[in-house]
Amino acid sequence: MNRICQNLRHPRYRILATTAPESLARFLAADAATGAAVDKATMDKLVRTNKVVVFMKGNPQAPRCGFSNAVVQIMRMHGVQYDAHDVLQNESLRQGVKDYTDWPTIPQVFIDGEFVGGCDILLQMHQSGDLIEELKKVGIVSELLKAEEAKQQDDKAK
Amino acid sequence: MLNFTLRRLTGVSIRNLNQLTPTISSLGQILPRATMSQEAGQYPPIESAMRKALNTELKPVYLEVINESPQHNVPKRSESHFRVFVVSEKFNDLTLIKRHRLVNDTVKNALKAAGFEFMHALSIEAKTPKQWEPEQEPEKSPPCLGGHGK
Repeated sequence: MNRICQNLRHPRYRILATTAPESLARFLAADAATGAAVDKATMDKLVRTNKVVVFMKGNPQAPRCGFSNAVVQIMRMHGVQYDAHDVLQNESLRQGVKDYTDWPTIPQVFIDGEFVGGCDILLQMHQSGDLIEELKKVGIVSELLKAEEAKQQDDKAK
Repeated sequence: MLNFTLRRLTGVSIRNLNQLTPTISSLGQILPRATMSQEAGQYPPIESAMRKALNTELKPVYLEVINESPQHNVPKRSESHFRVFVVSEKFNDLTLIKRHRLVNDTVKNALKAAGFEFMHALSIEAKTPKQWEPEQEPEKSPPCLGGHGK
């Protein structure tokens, strides 16, 4: 845990700007750690750094996997601010998150510190409207919801 | 079906059964799927282990197991990326994540018993019979973005 905190303060630890509308994700490039998988306590902290946390392959600007990319695109559509971790940069994180959730694949999405699912589940939640509900529960208003409401306002005004 | 009766009668494990399948495939007329096999007269090992496990555990109304490895940056004839489309009564009271965990665990246990590592990627579509229309095709997986080349 201390190591992660030290890494956070190290200049090597990059956080991409969140000002541009395209890059709503904070990309946290941790050191490529060696040794055993990241332990549970560290994982507990990592999944709570933001309301929405995603473990993926690659980063939101350049995903290295089609399924990770699907998650990134869905998040972009909803205008969600989230933290992204690239497991390809860190083998112990990659194994650590799999052990933490007892889920064998990446990407993995956490909302409010709770594991929600991977690409398939997120896609189905997006299609069924459940994702908008889940985001609302943690206080994130989805862009799609805003667009929907704006449209309804327009229709009423006419 | 014949596999299961054989297995019960002889009490063989899944691993031994994989070795037995060449003899079963010689009964090509009785088991149609044996005639669709590729090399060495049997389904690819991981895929067949998955099908067996999913059929036993979930007793699905409909099951599709698709090897999507050719769509990805992996060697030929890999069995690394799969898509599973299952329709089963067992999903009736389960949330999405519980259904997916059930499928994941079934596949994981089957592969462990057969001595394989879990695959690199598994896409799951788990529907209840009520949610399922027979004409429905499984979703298409997004295109591969290269992975890490390993």
